[in-house]
Amino acid sequence: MRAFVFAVFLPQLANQFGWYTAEMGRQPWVVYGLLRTSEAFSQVVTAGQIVFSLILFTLIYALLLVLFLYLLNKKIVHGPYDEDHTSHSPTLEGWQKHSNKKIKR
Amino acid sequence: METFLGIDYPTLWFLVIGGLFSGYGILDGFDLGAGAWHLFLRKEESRRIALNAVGPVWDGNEVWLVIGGGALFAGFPIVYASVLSAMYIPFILFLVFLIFRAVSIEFRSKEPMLWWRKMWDISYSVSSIMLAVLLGVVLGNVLQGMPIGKNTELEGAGWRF
Repeated sequence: MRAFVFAVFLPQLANQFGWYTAEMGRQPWVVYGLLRTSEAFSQVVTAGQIVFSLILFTLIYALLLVLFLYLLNKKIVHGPYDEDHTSHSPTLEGWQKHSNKKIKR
Repeated sequence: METFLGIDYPTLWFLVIGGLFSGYGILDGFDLGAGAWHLFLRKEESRRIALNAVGPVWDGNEVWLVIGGGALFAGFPIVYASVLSAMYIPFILFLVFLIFRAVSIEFRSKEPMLWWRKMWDISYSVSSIMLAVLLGVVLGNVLQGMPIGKNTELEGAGWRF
């Protein structure tokens, strides 16, 4: 069973490799056999704008990955919630009930 | 020309897309407004109430924009291509703020620390304001008219707004 822990990465790998295969395999076509990549790209979007957006999204996704792993790890360490805390959605009632003891004001 | 219910296709698509973007403007205007107002609400309880008011509907409202964009792509692909290429930077920033707005709503209650909540409050409110500003930039440019050349691409520099 311990080996299956590492299986958590397998869907991610399958997803990524599938994406690479689809994106690289279709070159030099955007629509296979109909439209070439060289005919499809925007003339007015400069290389600088593409680099800017790529760097921006890389940074955002890196930040979100760190936040996601941090929060997920906390949840895993915490373990399952007991009967009273099965609903963890931030309702107003829930906030009022727990705000005094949980939130430092 | 092909017609449906006596209306030709371009007019029909124009009506559909107009209806979708109007619906988006009205519905998401409500929750972007609630987000823009967020930092001006001083009490945590007021902020919680404002968040809960948009909580069940904000993501549904955004779908109107997604469908509007999809309809534009299907109905007037050249308009879609020209506008999204010409307004590349505003649309990229629009996506960035959409991400931060959604993440802020989800993450702000995940940690009890005050700085954590403050951080996401600012992110949420600033994103909401910037989304409205960027939509204004795009729609303003479209309404004013953009110099689109024969190759259906924007003429001149990419930074015309």
